[in-house]
Amino acid sequence: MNIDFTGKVAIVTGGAKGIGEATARKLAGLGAAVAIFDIDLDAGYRSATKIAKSGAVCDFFPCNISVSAEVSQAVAVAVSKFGKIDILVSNAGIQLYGDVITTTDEDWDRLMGINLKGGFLVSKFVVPHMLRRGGAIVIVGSVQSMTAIRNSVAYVTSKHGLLGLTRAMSLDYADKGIRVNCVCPGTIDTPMLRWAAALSDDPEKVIQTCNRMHPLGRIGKAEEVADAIVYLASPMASFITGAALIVDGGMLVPAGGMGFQEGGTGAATHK
Amino acid sequence: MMLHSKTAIITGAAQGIGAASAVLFAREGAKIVAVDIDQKLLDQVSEQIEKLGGSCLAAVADVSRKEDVHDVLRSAAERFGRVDILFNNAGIVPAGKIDAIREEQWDRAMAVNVKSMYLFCHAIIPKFKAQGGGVILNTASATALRAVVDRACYTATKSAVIGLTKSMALDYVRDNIRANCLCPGTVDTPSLAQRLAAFPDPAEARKKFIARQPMGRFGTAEEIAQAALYLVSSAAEFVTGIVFPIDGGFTI
Repeated sequence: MNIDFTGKVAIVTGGAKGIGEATARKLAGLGAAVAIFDIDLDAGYRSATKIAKSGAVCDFFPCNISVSAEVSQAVAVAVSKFGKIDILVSNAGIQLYGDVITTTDEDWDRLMGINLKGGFLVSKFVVPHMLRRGGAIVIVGSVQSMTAIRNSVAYVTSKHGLLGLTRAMSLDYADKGIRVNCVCPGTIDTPMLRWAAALSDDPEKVIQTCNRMHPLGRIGKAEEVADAIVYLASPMASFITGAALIVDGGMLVPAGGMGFQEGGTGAATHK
Repeated sequence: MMLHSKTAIITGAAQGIGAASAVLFAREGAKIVAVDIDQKLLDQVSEQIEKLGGSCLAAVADVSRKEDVHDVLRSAAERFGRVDILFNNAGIVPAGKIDAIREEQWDRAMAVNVKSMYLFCHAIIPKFKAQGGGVILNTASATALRAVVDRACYTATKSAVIGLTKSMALDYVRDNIRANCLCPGTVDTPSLAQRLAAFPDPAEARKKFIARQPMGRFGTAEEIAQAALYLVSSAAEFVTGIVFPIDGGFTI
Protein backbone atom coordinates (compact mmCIF):
# COMPACT_ATOMS: atom_id res chain seq x y z
CA MET A 1 0.00 0.00 0.00
CA ASN A 2 1.28 3.44 -0.79
CA ILE A 3 1.00 4.82 2.70
CA ASP A 4 3.78 6.90 4.18
CA PHE A 5 4.30 6.51 7.91
CA THR A 6 7.55 8.46 7.93
CA GLY A 7 7.84 10.32 11.23
CA LYS A 8 5.17 8.15 12.89
CA VAL A 9 5.75 6.00 15.94
CA ALA A 10 3.92 2.71 16.41
CA ILE A 11 3.65 0.21 19.23
CA VAL A 12 2.79 -3.36 18.28
CA THR A 13 2.04 -5.70 21.17
CA GLY A 14 2.70 -9.36 20.55
CA GLY A 15 4.99 -8.14 17.79
CA ALA A 16 7.47 -10.98 18.04
CA LYS A 17 5.55 -13.50 15.98
CA GLY A 18 2.62 -14.09 13.67
CA ILE A 19 0.24 -11.23 12.88
CA GLY A 20 2.10 -8.86 15.21
CA GLU A 21 5.42 -9.55 13.57
CA ALA A 22 3.98 -9.12 10.06
CA THR A 23 2.37 -5.84 11.16
CA ALA A 24 5.56 -4.52 12.73
CA ARG A 25 7.43 -5.38 9.54
CA LYS A 26 4.84 -3.68 7.35
CA LEU A 27 4.62 -0.52 9.49
CA ALA A 28 8.40 -0.24 9.56
CA GLY A 29 8.58 -0.82 5.82
CA LEU A 30 6.25 2.13 5.33
CA GLY A 31 8.49 4.40 7.39
CA ALA A 32 7.21 4.16 10.96
CA ALA A 33 9.48 3.74 13.95
CA VAL A 34 8.18 0.58 15.59
CA ALA A 35 8.27 -0.52 19.22
CA ILE A 36 7.66 -4.23 19.59
CA PHE A 37 6.16 -5.29 22.92
CA ASP A 38 6.32 -8.98 23.67
CA ILE A 39 6.97 -11.39 26.50
CA ASP A 40 9.07 -13.71 24.34
CA LEU A 41 12.60 -12.35 24.70
CA ASP A 42 14.27 -14.44 22.01
CA ALA A 43 11.60 -13.97 19.36
CA GLY A 44 11.17 -10.28 20.28
CA TYR A 45 14.84 -9.44 19.85
CA ARG A 46 15.04 -11.53 16.70
CA SER A 47 12.03 -9.82 15.14
CA ALA A 48 13.21 -6.29 16.05
CA THR A 49 16.76 -6.94 14.91
CA LYS A 50 15.62 -8.33 11.59
CA ILE A 51 13.42 -5.30 10.92
CA ALA A 52 16.15 -2.87 12.05
CA LYS A 53 18.63 -4.60 9.72
CA SER A 54 16.38 -3.76 6.78
CA GLY A 55 17.16 -0.10 7.50
CA ALA A 56 14.00 0.69 9.48
CA VAL A 57 13.76 1.91 13.05
CA CYS A 58 12.58 -0.87 15.31
CA ASP A 59 13.23 -1.74 18.92
CA PHE A 60 12.13 -4.46 21.30
CA PHE A 61 10.56 -3.70 24.67
CA PRO A 62 10.12 -6.86 26.75
CA CYS A 63 6.91 -6.77 28.71
CA ASN A 64 4.17 -8.92 30.14
CA ILE A 65 1.11 -7.21 28.70
CA SER A 66 -1.10 -8.37 31.58
CA VAL A 67 0.97 -6.65 34.28
CA SER A 68 0.16 -2.99 34.76
CA ALA A 69 3.58 -1.90 36.03
CA GLU A 70 5.38 -3.62 33.14
CA VAL A 71 3.14 -2.10 30.49
CA SER A 72 3.36 1.34 32.06
CA GLN A 73 7.15 1.02 32.16
CA ALA A 74 7.44 -0.24 28.58
CA VAL A 75 5.25 2.61 27.27
CA ALA A 76 7.31 5.15 29.23
CA VAL A 77 10.57 3.77 27.85
CA ALA A 78 9.20 3.68 24.30
CA VAL A 79 8.02 7.29 24.60
CA SER A 80 11.36 8.45 25.99
CA LYS A 81 13.08 6.68 23.11
CA PHE A 82 10.80 7.73 20.23
CA GLY A 83 9.26 10.92 21.65
CA LYS A 84 5.58 10.09 21.03
CA ILE A 85 3.10 7.44 19.96
CA ASP A 86 0.87 7.78 16.89
CA ILE A 87 -0.24 4.21 16.36
CA LEU A 88 -1.05 1.40 18.75
CA VAL A 89 -1.64 -2.11 17.49
CA SER A 90 -2.97 -4.12 20.40
CA ASN A 91 -2.38 -7.64 19.19
CA ALA A 92 -0.93 -9.77 21.97
CA GLY A 93 -3.05 -12.80 22.65
CA ILE A 94 -3.08 -16.45 23.52
CA GLN A 95 -5.42 -19.31 22.79
CA LEU A 96 -6.58 -21.89 25.31
CA TYR A 97 -9.25 -24.52 24.90
CA GLY A 98 -11.95 -25.67 27.27
CA ASP A 99 -15.59 -25.18 28.14
CA VAL A 100 -16.77 -23.43 31.23
CA ILE A 101 -16.37 -26.60 33.31
CA THR A 102 -12.96 -27.71 32.08
CA THR A 103 -11.39 -24.26 31.99
CA THR A 104 -9.56 -23.73 35.27
CA ASP A 105 -9.83 -20.32 36.85
CA GLU A 106 -6.06 -19.94 36.55
CA ASP A 107 -6.33 -20.46 32.79
CA TRP A 108 -9.29 -18.10 32.62
CA ASP A 109 -7.39 -15.39 34.49
CA ARG A 110 -4.26 -15.87 32.43
CA LEU A 111 -6.07 -15.69 29.10
CA MET A 112 -8.27 -12.77 30.14
CA GLY A 113 -5.21 -11.04 31.58
CA ILE A 114 -3.32 -11.21 28.31
CA ASN A 115 -6.07 -10.95 25.69
CA LEU A 116 -8.48 -8.49 27.27
CA LYS A 117 -6.80 -6.75 30.19
CA GLY A 118 -3.66 -6.45 28.06
CA GLY A 119 -5.66 -4.41 25.54
CA PHE A 120 -7.05 -2.28 28.34
CA LEU A 121 -3.66 -1.71 29.97
CA VAL A 122 -1.72 -0.78 26.88
CA SER A 123 -4.53 1.58 25.82
CA LYS A 124 -4.64 3.06 29.31
CA PHE A 125 -0.99 4.02 29.15
CA VAL A 126 -0.84 4.97 25.47
CA VAL A 127 -4.02 7.07 25.12
CA PRO A 128 -2.71 9.91 27.34
CA HIS A 129 0.11 10.33 24.82
CA MET A 130 -2.42 10.56 21.97
CA LEU A 131 -4.85 13.01 23.56
CA ARG A 132 -3.21 16.15 22.24
CA ARG A 133 -2.24 15.19 18.71
CA GLY A 134 -4.62 12.31 18.01
CA GLY A 135 -3.76 8.79 17.00
CA ALA A 136 -4.99 5.47 15.74
CA ILE A 137 -5.54 2.31 17.75
CA VAL A 138 -6.12 -1.02 16.08
CA ILE A 139 -7.17 -3.91 18.27
CA VAL A 140 -6.82 -7.43 16.98
CA GLY A 141 -10.06 -9.25 17.68
CA SER A 142 -11.17 -12.35 15.85
CA VAL A 143 -14.14 -13.76 14.00
CA GLN A 144 -14.72 -15.06 17.52
CA SER A 145 -15.47 -11.45 18.50
CA MET A 146 -18.82 -12.06 16.79
CA THR A 147 -19.35 -15.79 16.73
CA ALA A 148 -18.23 -18.71 18.85
CA ILE A 149 -16.62 -22.07 18.39
CA ARG A 150 -16.95 -24.98 20.76
CA ASN A 151 -14.66 -25.58 23.69
CA SER A 152 -13.15 -22.12 23.54
CA VAL A 153 -15.06 -20.25 26.21
CA ALA A 154 -12.28 -18.04 27.53
CA TYR A 155 -10.92 -17.10 24.12
CA VAL A 156 -14.36 -16.33 22.68
CA THR A 157 -15.25 -14.25 25.72
CA SER A 158 -12.00 -12.31 25.58
CA LYS A 159 -12.34 -11.59 21.87
CA HIS A 160 -15.95 -10.46 22.28
CA GLY A 161 -14.70 -8.22 25.06
CA LEU A 162 -12.12 -6.65 22.79
CA LEU A 163 -14.83 -5.59 20.35
CA GLY A 164 -16.65 -3.96 23.26
CA LEU A 165 -13.44 -2.23 24.30
CA THR A 166 -12.96 -1.02 20.73
CA ARG A 167 -16.43 0.46 20.53
CA ALA A 168 -16.33 2.01 23.99
CA MET A 169 -12.95 3.66 23.47
CA SER A 170 -13.85 4.83 19.98
CA LEU A 171 -16.75 6.82 21.44
CA ASP A 172 -14.77 8.14 24.39
CA TYR A 173 -12.04 9.59 22.19
CA ALA A 174 -13.82 10.33 18.89
CA ASP A 175 -13.66 14.06 19.55
CA LYS A 176 -9.98 13.86 20.46
CA GLY A 177 -8.91 12.64 17.05
CA ILE A 178 -8.16 9.15 18.31
CA ARG A 179 -9.67 6.45 16.15
CA VAL A 180 -10.14 2.97 17.58
CA ASN A 181 -10.93 0.03 15.34
CA CYS A 182 -10.84 -3.73 15.49
CA VAL A 183 -9.59 -6.25 12.94
CA CYS A 184 -11.33 -9.62 13.05
CA PRO A 185 -9.24 -12.30 11.37
CA GLY A 186 -10.44 -15.75 10.46
CA THR A 187 -7.97 -18.60 10.75
CA ILE A 188 -4.51 -17.29 9.95
CA ASP A 189 -1.34 -19.27 9.41
CA THR A 190 0.63 -18.23 12.49
CA PRO A 191 2.68 -19.99 15.16
CA MET A 192 -0.48 -19.86 17.34
CA LEU A 193 -2.47 -21.86 14.78
CA ARG A 194 0.36 -24.35 14.32
CA TRP A 195 0.46 -24.74 18.11
CA ALA A 196 -3.29 -25.34 18.23
CA ALA A 197 -3.12 -27.84 15.36
CA ALA A 198 -0.29 -29.70 17.08
CA LEU A 199 -2.66 -30.43 20.00
CA SER A 200 -4.44 -32.85 17.68
CA ASP A 201 -3.26 -36.31 16.61
CA ASP A 202 -3.33 -35.22 13.00
CA PRO A 203 -2.22 -31.56 12.75
CA GLU A 204 -2.33 -31.52 8.95
CA LYS A 205 -5.97 -32.60 9.03
CA VAL A 206 -6.76 -29.69 11.33
CA ILE A 207 -5.23 -27.29 8.82
CA GLN A 208 -7.21 -28.92 6.00
CA THR A 209 -10.41 -28.53 8.01
CA CYS A 210 -9.53 -24.89 8.64
CA ASN A 211 -9.00 -24.37 4.93
CA ARG A 212 -12.46 -25.79 4.24
CA MET A 213 -14.14 -23.54 6.83
CA HIS A 214 -13.25 -20.51 4.72
CA PRO A 215 -15.24 -20.06 1.53
CA LEU A 216 -12.02 -18.93 -0.15
CA GLY A 217 -10.79 -22.47 0.48
CA ARG A 218 -7.71 -21.55 2.45
CA ILE A 219 -6.57 -20.03 5.70
CA GLY A 220 -5.22 -16.49 5.64
CA LYS A 221 -1.69 -15.16 5.79
CA ALA A 222 -0.40 -12.94 8.58
CA GLU A 223 0.48 -10.33 5.93
CA GLU A 224 -3.14 -10.16 4.82
CA VAL A 225 -4.22 -9.22 8.33
CA ALA A 226 -1.28 -6.82 8.62
CA ASP A 227 -2.53 -5.07 5.46
CA ALA A 228 -5.92 -4.50 7.09
CA ILE A 229 -4.29 -3.22 10.29
CA VAL A 230 -2.01 -0.87 8.39
CA TYR A 231 -4.97 0.40 6.42
CA LEU A 232 -7.00 1.14 9.58
CA ALA A 233 -3.99 2.84 11.19
CA SER A 234 -3.43 5.05 8.16
CA PRO A 235 -5.03 8.32 7.05
CA MET A 236 -6.86 6.26 4.42
CA ALA A 237 -9.23 5.32 7.25
CA SER A 238 -9.63 8.81 8.71
CA PHE A 239 -13.45 8.54 8.96
CA ILE A 240 -13.46 5.02 10.34
CA THR A 241 -13.81 4.52 14.07
CA GLY A 242 -15.47 1.88 16.20
CA ALA A 243 -15.51 -0.47 13.23
CA ALA A 244 -14.74 -4.15 13.01
CA LEU A 245 -12.96 -5.07 9.80
CA ILE A 246 -13.41 -8.75 9.06
CA VAL A 247 -10.53 -10.47 7.29
CA ASP A 248 -11.76 -14.03 7.13
CA GLY A 249 -11.88 -15.32 3.58
CA GLY A 250 -15.67 -15.19 3.81
CA MET A 251 -15.88 -17.43 6.88
CA LEU A 252 -18.70 -15.51 8.55
CA VAL A 253 -20.86 -15.33 5.43
CA PRO A 254 -22.44 -18.78 5.02
CA ALA A 255 -25.39 -19.57 7.28
CA GLY A 256 -24.61 -22.81 9.04
CA GLY A 257 -20.98 -22.67 7.96
CA MET A 258 -19.36 -24.15 4.91
CA GLY A 259 -20.08 -27.69 6.10
CA PHE A 260 -23.79 -26.96 5.90
CA GLN A 261 -23.38 -25.23 2.53
CA GLU A 262 -21.58 -28.25 1.13
CA GLY A 263 -23.89 -30.89 2.58
CA GLY A 264 -27.10 -29.01 3.30
CA THR A 265 -29.35 -26.75 1.29
CA GLY A 266 -26.35 -25.33 -0.52
CA ALA A 267 -25.78 -28.76 -2.04
CA ALA A 268 -28.81 -28.39 -4.29
CA THR A 269 -26.93 -25.96 -6.49
CA HIS A 270 -23.40 -26.91 -5.58
CA LYS A 271 -21.22 -27.71 -8.55
CA MET B 1 0.02 2.10 -7.57
CA MET B 2 -2.63 -0.09 -6.00
CA LEU B 3 -4.77 -0.60 -9.13
CA HIS B 4 -2.14 -0.61 -11.84
CA SER B 5 -3.46 -1.96 -15.15
CA LYS B 6 -6.94 -2.63 -13.69
CA THR B 7 -10.20 -1.42 -15.19
CA ALA B 8 -12.98 -0.32 -12.87
CA ILE B 9 -16.63 0.40 -13.56
CA ILE B 10 -18.04 2.89 -11.06
CA THR B 11 -21.72 3.77 -11.06
CA GLY B 12 -23.03 7.03 -9.66
CA ALA B 13 -19.66 8.45 -10.62
CA ALA B 14 -20.69 12.02 -11.43
CA GLN B 15 -20.75 13.28 -7.86
CA GLY B 16 -19.91 12.51 -4.27
CA ILE B 17 -18.49 9.12 -3.31
CA GLY B 18 -18.58 7.81 -6.89
CA ALA B 19 -16.72 10.79 -8.31
CA ALA B 20 -14.12 10.75 -5.54
CA SER B 21 -13.61 7.01 -6.09
CA ALA B 22 -13.26 7.45 -9.85
CA VAL B 23 -10.54 10.05 -9.33
CA LEU B 24 -8.76 8.07 -6.62
CA PHE B 25 -8.88 4.78 -8.53
CA ALA B 26 -7.51 6.61 -11.59
CA ARG B 27 -4.68 8.08 -9.52
CA GLU B 28 -3.89 4.52 -8.43
CA GLY B 29 -3.53 3.43 -12.03
CA ALA B 30 -6.99 2.12 -12.93
CA LYS B 31 -8.75 2.80 -16.18
CA ILE B 32 -12.19 4.11 -15.31
CA VAL B 33 -15.64 3.51 -16.72
CA ALA B 34 -17.61 6.27 -15.03
CA VAL B 35 -21.36 5.68 -15.15
CA ASP B 36 -24.03 8.20 -14.27
CA ILE B 37 -27.33 9.58 -15.49
CA ASP B 38 -26.06 13.18 -15.36
CA GLN B 39 -23.99 13.76 -18.47
CA LYS B 40 -22.78 17.27 -17.62
CA LEU B 41 -21.35 16.38 -14.23
CA LEU B 42 -20.02 13.07 -15.52
CA ASP B 43 -18.05 14.86 -18.25
CA GLN B 44 -16.42 17.05 -15.60
CA VAL B 45 -15.23 13.96 -13.68
CA SER B 46 -13.98 12.43 -16.90
CA GLU B 47 -12.07 15.61 -17.79
CA GLN B 48 -10.54 15.70 -14.33
CA ILE B 49 -9.28 12.14 -14.74
CA GLU B 50 -7.91 12.77 -18.23
CA LYS B 51 -6.09 15.84 -16.87
CA LEU B 52 -4.41 13.61 -14.30
CA GLY B 53 -3.15 11.53 -17.20
CA GLY B 54 -5.69 8.77 -16.60
CA SER B 55 -8.17 7.10 -18.92
CA CYS B 56 -11.87 7.50 -18.40
CA LEU B 57 -14.87 6.42 -20.40
CA ALA B 58 -17.89 8.51 -19.43
CA ALA B 59 -20.95 6.32 -19.89
CA VAL B 60 -24.31 8.02 -19.50
CA ALA B 61 -26.86 5.49 -18.32
CA ASP B 62 -29.90 4.84 -16.20
CA VAL B 63 -28.49 1.99 -14.14
CA SER B 64 -31.97 0.59 -13.49
CA ARG B 65 -32.48 -0.13 -17.23
CA LYS B 66 -31.14 -3.39 -18.63
CA GLU B 67 -30.44 -1.93 -22.08
CA ASP B 68 -28.39 0.89 -20.57
CA VAL B 69 -26.37 -1.49 -18.43
CA HIS B 70 -25.62 -3.70 -21.41
CA ASP B 71 -24.57 -0.64 -23.42
CA VAL B 72 -22.17 0.36 -20.65
CA LEU B 73 -20.59 -3.09 -20.57
CA ARG B 74 -20.33 -3.20 -24.35
CA SER B 75 -18.59 0.17 -24.60
CA ALA B 76 -16.35 -0.69 -21.64
CA ALA B 77 -15.25 -3.87 -23.41
CA GLU B 78 -14.68 -2.00 -26.68
CA ARG B 79 -12.58 0.69 -25.02
CA PHE B 80 -10.62 -1.25 -22.40
CA GLY B 81 -11.07 -4.98 -23.07
CA ARG B 82 -11.51 -6.64 -19.70
CA VAL B 83 -13.12 -5.20 -16.58
CA ASP B 84 -11.62 -6.18 -13.20
CA ILE B 85 -13.60 -4.15 -10.72
CA LEU B 86 -17.29 -3.34 -10.48
CA PHE B 87 -18.19 -0.67 -7.94
CA ASN B 88 -21.99 -0.46 -7.71
CA ASN B 89 -22.40 2.88 -6.03
CA ALA B 90 -25.35 4.64 -7.69
CA GLY B 91 -28.15 5.33 -5.27
CA ILE B 92 -30.93 7.70 -4.38
CA VAL B 93 -32.34 8.70 -1.00
CA PRO B 94 -36.11 9.03 -0.82
CA ALA B 95 -37.00 10.73 2.47
CA GLY B 96 -40.05 10.12 4.60
CA LYS B 97 -41.80 7.62 6.80
CA ILE B 98 -43.31 4.67 5.02
CA ASP B 99 -46.85 6.09 5.00
CA ALA B 100 -45.56 9.11 3.10
CA ILE B 101 -43.53 7.18 0.52
CA ARG B 102 -45.43 6.89 -2.75
CA GLU B 103 -45.36 3.61 -4.62
CA GLU B 104 -43.44 5.20 -7.50
CA GLN B 105 -40.78 6.40 -5.05
CA TRP B 106 -40.51 2.91 -3.58
CA ASP B 107 -40.19 1.30 -7.02
CA ARG B 108 -37.68 3.86 -8.22
CA ALA B 109 -35.47 3.49 -5.13
CA MET B 110 -35.56 -0.31 -5.40
CA ALA B 111 -34.70 -0.04 -9.09
CA VAL B 112 -31.81 2.40 -8.72
CA ASN B 113 -30.39 1.13 -5.44
CA VAL B 114 -30.89 -2.62 -5.76
CA LYS B 115 -31.95 -3.79 -9.21
CA SER B 116 -29.07 -1.87 -10.80
CA MET B 117 -26.70 -4.09 -8.82
CA TYR B 118 -28.53 -7.20 -10.00
CA LEU B 119 -28.32 -6.01 -13.61
CA PHE B 120 -24.62 -5.19 -13.50
CA CYS B 121 -23.66 -8.31 -11.56
CA HIS B 122 -25.88 -10.56 -13.63
CA ALA B 123 -24.19 -9.38 -16.78
CA ILE B 124 -20.60 -9.13 -15.56
CA ILE B 125 -20.19 -12.25 -13.42
CA PRO B 126 -20.02 -14.63 -16.40
CA LYS B 127 -17.21 -12.42 -17.74
CA PHE B 128 -15.46 -12.43 -14.35
CA LYS B 129 -15.71 -16.22 -14.28
CA ALA B 130 -14.37 -16.55 -17.79
CA GLN B 131 -11.39 -14.32 -17.08
CA GLY B 132 -10.55 -16.03 -13.78
CA GLY B 133 -11.91 -13.51 -11.29
CA GLY B 134 -13.06 -10.03 -10.43
CA VAL B 135 -13.99 -7.75 -7.58
CA ILE B 136 -17.43 -6.40 -6.71
CA LEU B 137 -18.02 -3.60 -4.25
CA ASN B 138 -21.48 -2.31 -3.40
CA THR B 139 -22.45 0.84 -1.57
CA ALA B 140 -24.90 0.08 1.23
CA SER B 141 -25.36 2.51 4.12
CA ALA B 142 -24.86 2.92 7.84
CA THR B 143 -28.66 3.18 8.05
CA ALA B 144 -28.82 -0.52 7.20
CA LEU B 145 -26.99 -1.17 10.49
CA ARG B 146 -28.71 1.38 12.74
CA ALA B 147 -32.00 2.88 11.66
CA VAL B 148 -32.62 6.61 11.43
CA VAL B 149 -35.98 8.36 11.17
CA ASP B 150 -37.57 9.15 7.82
CA ARG B 151 -35.42 6.74 5.80
CA ALA B 152 -37.51 3.55 5.80
CA CYS B 153 -37.54 2.99 2.06
CA TYR B 154 -33.88 3.90 1.67
CA THR B 155 -32.94 1.63 4.57
CA ALA B 156 -34.90 -1.25 3.05
CA THR B 157 -32.98 -0.90 -0.20
CA LYS B 158 -29.63 -0.69 1.56
CA SER B 159 -30.37 -3.68 3.78
CA ALA B 160 -31.17 -5.59 0.61
CA VAL B 161 -27.77 -4.59 -0.75
CA ILE B 162 -26.14 -6.24 2.26
CA GLY B 163 -28.04 -9.49 1.65
CA LEU B 164 -27.19 -9.43 -2.02
CA THR B 165 -23.52 -8.81 -1.28
CA LYS B 166 -23.22 -11.67 1.20
CA SER B 167 -25.04 -14.09 -1.09
CA MET B 168 -22.87 -13.24 -4.07
CA ALA B 169 -19.73 -13.44 -1.96
CA LEU B 170 -20.65 -17.00 -1.07
CA ASP B 171 -21.91 -18.09 -4.48
CA TYR B 172 -18.82 -17.00 -6.39
CA VAL B 173 -16.07 -17.40 -3.86
CA ARG B 174 -14.60 -20.37 -5.73
CA ASP B 175 -14.63 -18.32 -8.92
CA ASN B 176 -12.14 -15.91 -7.41
CA ILE B 177 -14.78 -13.19 -7.28
CA ARG B 178 -14.84 -11.17 -4.07
CA ALA B 179 -17.93 -9.15 -3.11
CA ASN B 180 -18.05 -6.67 -0.24
CA CYS B 181 -20.13 -3.67 0.73
CA LEU B 182 -19.48 -0.29 2.26
CA CYS B 183 -21.74 1.37 4.81
CA PRO B 184 -20.97 5.08 4.69
CA GLY B 185 -22.29 7.27 7.46
CA THR B 186 -23.29 10.83 6.80
CA VAL B 187 -20.96 12.11 4.14
CA ASP B 188 -20.63 15.67 2.92
CA THR B 189 -21.78 15.20 -0.67
CA PRO B 190 -24.12 17.00 -3.07
CA SER B 191 -26.66 14.31 -2.19
CA LEU B 192 -26.52 15.34 1.48
CA ALA B 193 -26.75 19.03 0.55
CA GLN B 194 -29.95 18.26 -1.37
CA ARG B 195 -31.41 16.41 1.59
CA LEU B 196 -30.52 19.25 3.96
CA ALA B 197 -32.04 21.77 1.57
CA ALA B 198 -35.34 19.92 1.94
CA PHE B 199 -35.53 20.92 5.63
CA PRO B 200 -37.36 24.15 6.57
CA ASP B 201 -34.10 25.45 8.07
CA PRO B 202 -31.19 23.78 6.25
CA ALA B 203 -28.50 25.41 8.42
CA GLU B 204 -30.21 24.20 11.59
CA ALA B 205 -30.64 20.74 10.04
CA ARG B 206 -26.96 20.65 9.20
CA LYS B 207 -26.11 21.45 12.82
CA LYS B 208 -28.42 18.67 14.04
CA PHE B 209 -26.92 16.17 11.60
CA ILE B 210 -23.42 17.07 12.79
CA ALA B 211 -24.47 16.87 16.45
CA ARG B 212 -25.25 13.16 16.04
CA GLN B 213 -21.75 12.45 14.70
CA PRO B 214 -19.39 11.11 17.39
CA MET B 215 -16.44 12.67 15.57
CA GLY B 216 -18.27 15.99 15.43
CA ARG B 217 -18.09 16.16 11.66
CA PHE B 218 -19.33 14.57 8.45
CA GLY B 219 -17.20 12.24 6.43
CA THR B 220 -15.77 13.31 3.12
CA ALA B 221 -16.31 11.54 -0.17
CA GLU B 222 -12.55 11.03 -0.38
CA GLU B 223 -12.56 9.13 2.90
CA ILE B 224 -15.16 6.71 1.60
CA ALA B 225 -13.21 6.40 -1.64
CA GLN B 226 -10.14 5.35 0.36
CA ALA B 227 -12.13 2.52 1.95
CA ALA B 228 -13.38 1.52 -1.50
CA LEU B 229 -9.80 1.51 -2.74
CA TYR B 230 -8.69 -0.82 0.04
CA LEU B 231 -11.54 -3.26 -0.56
CA VAL B 232 -11.06 -3.49 -4.33
CA SER B 233 -7.27 -3.71 -4.12
CA SER B 234 -5.14 -6.79 -3.66
CA ALA B 235 -4.46 -5.70 -0.07
CA ALA B 236 -7.94 -7.07 0.70
CA GLU B 237 -7.48 -10.38 -1.09
CA PHE B 238 -8.68 -12.38 1.95
CA VAL B 239 -11.70 -10.12 2.48
CA THR B 240 -15.03 -11.17 1.06
CA GLY B 241 -18.66 -10.90 2.13
CA ILE B 242 -18.04 -8.12 4.62
CA VAL B 243 -20.19 -5.17 5.59
CA PHE B 244 -17.85 -2.32 6.33
CA PRO B 245 -19.03 0.83 8.14
CA ILE B 246 -17.15 4.07 7.43
CA ASP B 247 -19.16 6.33 9.57
CA GLY B 248 -17.06 8.22 12.09
CA GLY B 249 -18.50 6.00 14.81
CA PHE B 250 -22.14 6.71 13.92
CA THR B 251 -23.30 3.10 14.24
CA ILE B 252 -21.58 2.37 17.53
